[in-house]
Amino acid sequence: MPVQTVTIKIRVDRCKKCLNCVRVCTAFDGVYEEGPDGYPVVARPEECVQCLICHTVCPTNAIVHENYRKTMLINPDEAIVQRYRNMI
Amino acid sequence: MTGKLTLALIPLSGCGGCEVQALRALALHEDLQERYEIVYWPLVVEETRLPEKIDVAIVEGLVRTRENLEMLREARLRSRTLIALGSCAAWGGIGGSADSFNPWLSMKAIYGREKIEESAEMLPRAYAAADLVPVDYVISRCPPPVEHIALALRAIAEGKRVPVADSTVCSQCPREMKPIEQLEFKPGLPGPDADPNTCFLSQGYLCLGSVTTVGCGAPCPRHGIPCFGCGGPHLEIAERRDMDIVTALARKIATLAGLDPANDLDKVVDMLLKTYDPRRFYVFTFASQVLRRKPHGYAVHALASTRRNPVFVKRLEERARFAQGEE
Repeated sequence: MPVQTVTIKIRVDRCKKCLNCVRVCTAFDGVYEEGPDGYPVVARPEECVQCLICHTVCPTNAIVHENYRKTMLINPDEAIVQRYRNMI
Repeated sequence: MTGKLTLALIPLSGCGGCEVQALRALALHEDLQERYEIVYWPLVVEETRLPEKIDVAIVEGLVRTRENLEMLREARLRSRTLIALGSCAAWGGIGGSADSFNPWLSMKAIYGREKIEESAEMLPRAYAAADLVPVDYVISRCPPPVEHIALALRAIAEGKRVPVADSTVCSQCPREMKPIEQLEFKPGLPGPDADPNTCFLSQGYLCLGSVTTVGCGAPCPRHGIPCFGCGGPHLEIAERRDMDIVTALARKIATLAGLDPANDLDKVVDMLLKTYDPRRFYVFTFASQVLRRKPHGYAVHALASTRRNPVFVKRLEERARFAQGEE
């Protein structure tokens, strides 16, 4: 499976400049930094460990993670399903 | 066939404010008058029976009596699209606070008897309409804005999906959020000494704006009143089982104060619940089954603490004695 890089966007029209995301980021160096205009900027997106704690502390849901890891439910093959159905 | 959709508005136990807002939406938007034909609406038309088939039905208010429950079930069976209008139908609303007391005790305190023969049969608790039957759309807030109702009705008439915003009241609030230096909570509402340009949470007052769904334009924080959460909880809090109004708010406050939102969460929650009455967080969502089912159970805790409150119980018993002596 190809490794997908996560893209983080901050919706500036919603952002309140509270910088909760800068304070809370659990990555080693911190993904976010305070930008020159007071809004947080995504400085090191490659550091992101996708814990998504920044989503829970953002007061306005302004942070969007794209290409975020997807949970895959492993479904058995149709033939195997059929086999087990016959066994029962 | 005229090509119009049939519209019915079924009022349950509510104040009628949502009905007025729906009437305003139809009066202000003339294209809706051409698209909808009102077939049942006690405020507007003189039709006493609910028709067999309805395209769009709107329920307003909360389910309190057996009659309400039957009416709601009929509305669901006969309608193609059912809309829960207002905070009462969606989350329990202000009327949901009736759950603070046993209904039979309240009847005794007011009328001196537990049951009156000619009155409606009361249910043991108040329900939000959206908890009892599946609804297609929820238009929250108290009262719901006219634009929301018009937008939803227009989208349904055109056969489109109604757009949903996933932000909170904070995104429309002009107040500036600043970090908290010393974490403390001030009980009560902000007085004249509160700074008009700084966020209430930064000043230590309780404001539910950061956990309440968007759509009002934040009129209360603009005029110096903290948000009481009339729009109901934010989408994510309602959907996710591990999030509650108190915990979500405590996470945001803890981060503003520079604490760790995971490790210091319990400390901040304890401080919040010690300073404020637990009912303060559930003013508009007290009767909602969605929030009572949350694992931490702060809503159930609020309910139990009110029912056991000795001041309330004593006052109710005094009133009951007074009402019986009057007869």
